[in-house]
Amino acid sequence: MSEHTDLIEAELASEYEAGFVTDIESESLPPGLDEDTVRAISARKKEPQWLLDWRLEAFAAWKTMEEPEWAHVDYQKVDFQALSYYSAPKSQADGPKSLDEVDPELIRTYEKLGIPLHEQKMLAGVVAVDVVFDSVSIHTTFKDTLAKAGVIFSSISEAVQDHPEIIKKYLGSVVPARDNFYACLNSAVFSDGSFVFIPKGVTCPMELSTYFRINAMNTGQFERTLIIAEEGASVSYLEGCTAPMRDENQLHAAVVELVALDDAKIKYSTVQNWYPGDAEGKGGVYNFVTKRGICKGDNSHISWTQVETGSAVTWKYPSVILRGDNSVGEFYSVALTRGRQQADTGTKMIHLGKNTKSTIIAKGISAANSENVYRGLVRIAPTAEGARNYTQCDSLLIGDTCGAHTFPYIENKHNSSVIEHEATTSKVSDEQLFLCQQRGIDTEKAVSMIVNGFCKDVFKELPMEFAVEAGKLLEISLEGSVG
Amino acid sequence: MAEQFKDSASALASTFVPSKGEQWLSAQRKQGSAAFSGAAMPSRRIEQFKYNNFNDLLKQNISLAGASDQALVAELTAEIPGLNAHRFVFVDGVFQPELSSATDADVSATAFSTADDAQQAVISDLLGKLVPEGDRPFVALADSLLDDGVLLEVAAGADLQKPVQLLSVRTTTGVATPRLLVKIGDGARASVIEQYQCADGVQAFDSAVSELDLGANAELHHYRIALGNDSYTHIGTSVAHQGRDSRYRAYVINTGGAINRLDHVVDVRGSGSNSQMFGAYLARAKQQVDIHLCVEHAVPNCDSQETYRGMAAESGKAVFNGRIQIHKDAQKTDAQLSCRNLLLSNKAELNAKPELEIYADDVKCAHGATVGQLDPESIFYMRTRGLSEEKARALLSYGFINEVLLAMPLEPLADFLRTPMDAFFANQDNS
Repeated sequence: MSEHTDLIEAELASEYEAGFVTDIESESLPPGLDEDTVRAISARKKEPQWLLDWRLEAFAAWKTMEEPEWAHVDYQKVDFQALSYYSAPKSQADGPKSLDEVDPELIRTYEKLGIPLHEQKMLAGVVAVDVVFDSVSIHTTFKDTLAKAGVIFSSISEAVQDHPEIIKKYLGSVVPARDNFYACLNSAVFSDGSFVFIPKGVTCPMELSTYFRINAMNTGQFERTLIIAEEGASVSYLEGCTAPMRDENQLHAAVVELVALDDAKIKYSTVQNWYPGDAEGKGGVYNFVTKRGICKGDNSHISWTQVETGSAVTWKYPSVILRGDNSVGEFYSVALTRGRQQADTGTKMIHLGKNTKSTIIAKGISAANSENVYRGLVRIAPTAEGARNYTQCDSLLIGDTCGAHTFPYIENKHNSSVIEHEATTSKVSDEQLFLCQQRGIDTEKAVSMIVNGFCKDVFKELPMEFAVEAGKLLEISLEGSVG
Repeated sequence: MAEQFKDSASALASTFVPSKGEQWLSAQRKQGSAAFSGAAMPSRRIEQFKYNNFNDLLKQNISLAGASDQALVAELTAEIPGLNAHRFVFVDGVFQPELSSATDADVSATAFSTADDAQQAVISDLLGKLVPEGDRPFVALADSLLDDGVLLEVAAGADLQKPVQLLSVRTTTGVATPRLLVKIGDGARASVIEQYQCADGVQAFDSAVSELDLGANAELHHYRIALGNDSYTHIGTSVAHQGRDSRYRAYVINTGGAINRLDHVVDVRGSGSNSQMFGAYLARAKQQVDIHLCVEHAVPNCDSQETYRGMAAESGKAVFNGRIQIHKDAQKTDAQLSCRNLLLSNKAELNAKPELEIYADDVKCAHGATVGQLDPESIFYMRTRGLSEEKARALLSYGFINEVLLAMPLEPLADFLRTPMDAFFANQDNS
C-alpha cells in the first residue's frame, strides 16, 4: 500500500494555486473591536438606525459569550482585538458604477481565479456572479436580466438601501443574532455578502453565484448571505471562496440564511477552497460558519451541497429546519482534509412538520496529518408525524497519521418516524486496487477511480460548472471527476 | 439544586465509616472525595449527561443505606432455577460472606475487609486502575464511599464449569456502592454474572463500579444485568481490560429504573483480542435507561462486534451512546456496531449516538443505527391469525429483543430474564 499512498500523497501535496496576493491599495479599519468599530462599519455603509441598533445589540450579547470548545478541533485562539473588521479596495471607495470603473488589478485577480467578470465571457450566460473582495461586494453580473424576471440579486449592503423592508423582515430570522459565538460576532460586524430574493412563482432563469476572496492581511471576513424564495419560487445558488497564502491565520465567520416558503426550492452549493495553511499547519483560514435554512412553507425544499477542501480549521454545519408539512431537507458533502487541516463539519435536520423528509450523504477523506469529523444531528420533534431520515456517512483514510471521526446524534420523539443511519470507515481497499490493476488500470488511475466512486453520490448533486471545479480542487483527479 | 446532592454526598464521605471498619483503603476514599468535590454534577450542558434527567436525584439529600430488610433479602436472593452458580452476594452495598458460596478450588472471593497482605496488594494494584481517566462523578462518589467490596480471582488455566454470580440486591433506601474486582488468570475461562436488583417501591440509589481484568488468552462471558423498577436509581460503571489474545463477551441488560445507566468501557490492550457485546435497554412508564459504551482499540489486530437493541414505550426514555475509538497503533482493527431501536409511544423518547473516532488507516469500521416502530404489516399478519393487537405487539417487541437473549449461552439465565421482559411488554399504554 505504501507505494499507492506515496502516489496519492504526491498528488495531495500539490500547491495551493489560489495563494497569490493581489497588490492593491486598500482602505481598512484599524485592528480592534469595540462598539465604535461596529458604528464605523455601519456608518461606512450608510445603514439605517434600526440595523445599527441590531448590530449593537448583537455586539453586547457577544461580549458575554464564550468561544465554543466542543468541536473536535485544536487551534490557536483568535485574538479578536488584533483583527481588522473592514477592508475595502481603495479605488472602490465610492463604489463602481460599471465594470469599467473596477480596478483592472481586481479584474485580473478574478481572471487568475478563473472567474471572468465580463458577462459576455460567461459560459453561455447561465451564471450570474456576485463578487466579494475582503469586506465589500465588487460587482454583480447580469443584474438586468435577473431584474426582468423579478429576481433581486445584489450585495446585501445595496439591499439594505434598496429593499429595507425585506431585510428587516428576514435578517436574523433563521440564525438569530445570539445563535452562537461566531454568528453573534458576524451579526455585529458583518460587512457584505449576497442577497437573493425570488418572488412568488418565479424560477430563477440562471444559476446565481458568489465568489469570496480574502486578500488583505489580518482581516476577518464576515459576510452575510440571505436568500428568500417565495411561494413556488426556485433558485440554485453557488458559492466559492479562496484566499492568499499567508503565515497568519485569517478568520472567516459567515452567516448564511435561507428561507423557503410554500412549494419553494433552494439549492445551495459551496465549493470551499480557503487557504488551508502549509504542510506544517502554519497559516490558513479559520472557517467558522453558520449556515441554516428554514423550510417555512409546506412542500418546500432546501438542499445543501458542499465540497470542502480548504481552510485550516472548519467548523460548519449547514442545517435545515423542516417546519412546513411535507418539506424536504438534503445535505450532500465531500470534505477533504490534508496537511494539518482540521474539519468538524456536518449538518442538523430538525423535523417539526408532518411527513418531513431528510437525506444526509457525507463523505470524508482524510490524508497526511489531518482530522476530519462528521458531526450531525437528526431531531424528530413530537409534532413531526411520519418523519423520515436517511443518513449515510463514509470516511476514507489515506495514511496512518490522520483521523476520521463520526459523531451522529439521533433524537427521536415521535413514534411514527423512521430514522436510518449508516457509517463506514476504511482505507482504499487493496482488493479493489488489485481488481483494477488486474484489468490493466494503473495504480494512479485505479485510486482515482475508487475515490471518484466514493464521492459520486455528492458530485452528481453539484451544478455542472461546480462539479468540474470540485473535481479540480480535490486534486487527486486525473479525469476531472474527483478523483 | 445539584449543590444539595453534592454537599450531602461530600458531607457523607467526610464522616464515612466502612461497615467492617477496615482502614487500609482510606487513601482511595480520600482520593475519591477530592475527585468528587472537583467534579461537575450531571447536567444537560455536559455531553455525557446530555440526554439524562438527573433532577430527581440531584435534589435529594443523600444518606447511607440503612439496615437491610431480611425478608426482602431472602426473596431477592432466591436462586435462579437451573443456573447452579457460585454465588457472591451484596446486600445494600455490603458484601455478605455468609450468603456466598464457592465450591471450586479454581475460584476464590475475598472481601476487602478480610484480605491478607498479599491480597491487599492485589486489590490495591487493581482498584480504580482500570477506570480510564476523565470526568466520572459517580465513580468518584463510589470511591469516596468505598465499603466492603469483593475481589474475585479465577486461577490461571482454569476452565470453570459453573458460572459465578455476583448478586447485588437493595432492600432499603439510601446510597450503596457495591464494588467488584474480577481477575481472570491467563488462559482461564469463566462466566461471570453481575446482577443488580431492587425491591419494588424502595427508593434505592446505587453507584456501582466493577473492574474486570482478563489475562492473556483468557475468555470471559460477562453478563451485566440491572433490573430496575420505577423507584430504583442505578448508575453503574463496568470496565473490562483485555490482555493479549483474550476473548470478552458481554451481555448487557438494562430494564427500567428511575435512572438505569451503565457506563461500559471495553479497553482492548492486548493484540489478537476479540470483543463481542450484546445489549438490550428498555424503558417504559417514566423510566430512563442509558447505555454508554466505549470500546477502546489501542492495539493492532483486534476485532469487535457490538449488537444493541433498545426500546422506549409509554413515557420512557432510552439513550444509547456507543463510541468506538481506534487509536493510532490499532491497525487491522475490524469493528462493527449495530444499534436498532423501537419507539413505541409518542410520549417516549429515544436518543442514539453511535460514534467512531479513528486514528489508524488500515481498519474496517462501520456502525448502523435505526429508529423505527413495529411493522404494521407484521401486526396485521398476526391479527389475521387471531392474535389481539396487544398480543401481536408484545410478541413482535419480544422478538426484537430476543436476539440478545438468544445470544446468551447460559440458557437458565436467559429464561429467568424472560419474566421481567414479559412484564415489560405487557399492558403498555402507548396512546
